[in-house]
Amino acid sequence: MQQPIEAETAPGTRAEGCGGPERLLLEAARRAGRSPQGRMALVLHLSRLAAPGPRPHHRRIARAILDDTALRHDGQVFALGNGDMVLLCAMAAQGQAPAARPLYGLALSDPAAVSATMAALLRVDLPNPADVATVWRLQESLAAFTAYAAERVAESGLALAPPEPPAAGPAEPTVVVGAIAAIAEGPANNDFMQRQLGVLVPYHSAAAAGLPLLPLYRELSFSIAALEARLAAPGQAAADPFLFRHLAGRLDPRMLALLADAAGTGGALDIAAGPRAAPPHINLTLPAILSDGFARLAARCRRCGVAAGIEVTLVEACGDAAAFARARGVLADAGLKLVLDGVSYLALLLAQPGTLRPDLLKLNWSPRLPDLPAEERFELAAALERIGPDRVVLHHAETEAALRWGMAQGLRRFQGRHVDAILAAGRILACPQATGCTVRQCMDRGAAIAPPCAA
Amino acid sequence: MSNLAPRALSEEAQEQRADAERLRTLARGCVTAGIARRALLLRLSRLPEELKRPHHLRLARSALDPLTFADRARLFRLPNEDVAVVWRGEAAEALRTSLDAVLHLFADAGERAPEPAALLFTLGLPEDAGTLLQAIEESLPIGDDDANKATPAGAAPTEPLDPPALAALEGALAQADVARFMRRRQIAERLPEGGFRLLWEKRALSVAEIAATLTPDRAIRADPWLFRRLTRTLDRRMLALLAAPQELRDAGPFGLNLNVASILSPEFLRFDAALPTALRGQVVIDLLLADVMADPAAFVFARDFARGRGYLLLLRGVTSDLLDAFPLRRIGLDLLQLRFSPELARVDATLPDADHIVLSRADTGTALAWGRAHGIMLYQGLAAVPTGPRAALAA
Repeated sequence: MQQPIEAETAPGTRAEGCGGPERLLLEAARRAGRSPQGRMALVLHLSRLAAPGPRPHHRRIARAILDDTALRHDGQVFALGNGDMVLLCAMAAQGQAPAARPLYGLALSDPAAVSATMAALLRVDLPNPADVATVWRLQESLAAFTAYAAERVAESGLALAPPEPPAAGPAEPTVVVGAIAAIAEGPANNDFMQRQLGVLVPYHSAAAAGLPLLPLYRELSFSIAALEARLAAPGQAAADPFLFRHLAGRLDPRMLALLADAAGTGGALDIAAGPRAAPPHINLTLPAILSDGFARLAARCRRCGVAAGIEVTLVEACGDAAAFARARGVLADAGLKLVLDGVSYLALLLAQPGTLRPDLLKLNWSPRLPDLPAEERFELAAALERIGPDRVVLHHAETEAALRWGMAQGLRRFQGRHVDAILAAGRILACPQATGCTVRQCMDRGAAIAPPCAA
Repeated sequence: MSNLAPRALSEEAQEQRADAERLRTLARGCVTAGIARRALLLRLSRLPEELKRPHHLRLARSALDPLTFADRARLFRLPNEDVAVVWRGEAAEALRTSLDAVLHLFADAGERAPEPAALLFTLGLPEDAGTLLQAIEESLPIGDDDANKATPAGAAPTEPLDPPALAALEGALAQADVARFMRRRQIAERLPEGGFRLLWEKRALSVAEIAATLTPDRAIRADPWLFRRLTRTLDRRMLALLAAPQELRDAGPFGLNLNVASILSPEFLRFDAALPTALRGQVVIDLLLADVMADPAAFVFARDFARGRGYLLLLRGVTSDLLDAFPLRRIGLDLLQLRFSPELARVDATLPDADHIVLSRADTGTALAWGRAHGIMLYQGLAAVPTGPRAALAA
């Protein structure tokens, strides 16, 4: 990487002149058409990355590699408004000597090899290498390249209007997290509490056919989305994983206090009040589990015969193995279940979290799961088999595809918005007062927790 | 108004200040006259409050007794409870006994105790006089000439970092000159014929010293997650330092602690561009387990990018409890760092990939013996002092 890296430019910004990068690209394509011999165009389709991609680091590293290649091969890079990046440069000469310095696999001595390099780097986000880049040799494919550039210009037509004044950027994440913690620590914080059921799909049942789902547990938590909404800062609390862990630590004492206050009220936060078949699950940090407040909660669970589940995130367990071991001991002594939360499929491919001996492991659903490359698919299936499908919950099951994929893997435990919708639909069918209710309204009511002591 | 009245210094405090002056005079004298002395600096002020009770301090000072019998030995107590012993000539046996005794004192404190390399400094005068003089300056209360501003010597910060304080500290760090806080540690390979040879030098900013300078009233490690966030800012400053012209001109293989996000930052790209060709493949990047698991997708991207650029990657933060859960080969990294501790010493099982393990805190013969018994070749700590010539890293 020989050039100094410029300040980051988000897609769609007009850093490359008032005509916009699309028009500049089209102009460059026309110029290249006058002498296309020995030149090539490479389009890096970052626009194809599913949300949350392309992330800033995707753009940054891709730009650095393309800039470096452009420098070596008389080239130019265009960052387009749709997120794609285009490298227009000379092709490697036949029999060209390798670059002077070792490049360790980035293969920048041949611009055409950039697509393979980027495909390797982006394989998590864009598993099919053919989707990552398109390479055109201009001598043969000038028309296709020019058509691509023209399409981008057409797409960006709206963007050619006078640029809007820059909106105020998002608040500093530290400020947002501090403010959210302050709200949660303030009065009326039970307004932000929510619950969600985890369910078991019985054998020979099909959720889509409306057959009953058996409640397994009810997770009680602060609604981070509601707290963010109060500050008009959607998605900000969890944007930084470390700040989010700090926030979780700040919320836990309030959670324990709310549960203590609700004891004996019979309300939604009274751990002894819900159905026995769906004991409470509470997500806590390790310091909270090792606190006196938790000891009081555990004692109450024991007195009431409630087999609560305590959810600990994998990141939290990795952050302090000694505290995790102590917390596991505390839960075992109290007869409570340890639930390992926040396990992504990548974490299952990189590690063996099942060896942390959780009673239950919550695997986060990802839309990428059905399309994993064969090797990863087999490896993931083996990982689930080692843990035992009966100890795995597919979490964030927001779509029917999630349930379908989970059941195909032999999983029967699910939690997420799609499960909520099925349950809500069932309630509406059975409820004589549901006339006019929508599924969405019924889902929201099911998640809400009324203030236990409302006057 | 009594709280504003100048407080009379206790006899003990007066003696400590006098000791600081004496040590300053001695260190300067060694420099101006070229007198050779050896010194051991024990920075007890860096201990957390719970390990700094009077009996801890007393025992730690007693641990230095063997050294006080060395030729021309003098012991100095500084106002912040740091202690220095200065002597003439070799006193290897006494030094080892003292070091072992100090480390034994805090062996059970685990993470609460600072790393030995931040606690114990063996110095040679006159060449290391700067370190000694710096410690003396730091031992004196700020505004020493104004009793109204004086703070109790050695008072440890107790207020935890919170998001606003973190934001302020990140802002201050962006402007601060952090070059003087750069510290180095050696990672050495055990040789079959005995002894060690240097493989690489770990470069790191001394977080404790930076915090003591920029935010002395805050306990910056009290909230581990805010501390982790702070390390990203430190990463950026470190990378900027290393990318400065000439900084790496004569450098040998070295290592860095970095966060995943830092590998994907503009500062890393600048550093990578400035890395001399001879050092390509000779840099080890240490990643922390919790950081890796916080964003596995970014980790995989950063891992493949960094390996593509020739960096070796080391995983740290894995304890004996987590060894089964995070196999090195599965996570796709080159090296694993294990910190020696009483818990690790109880591990009797065969270690997978022992030849890819770095045993840190190898400060005692016990640690070395445990490492040897488990087939470990790479060490960092006071007991693994390299003597042989530096080796190149095998990429």
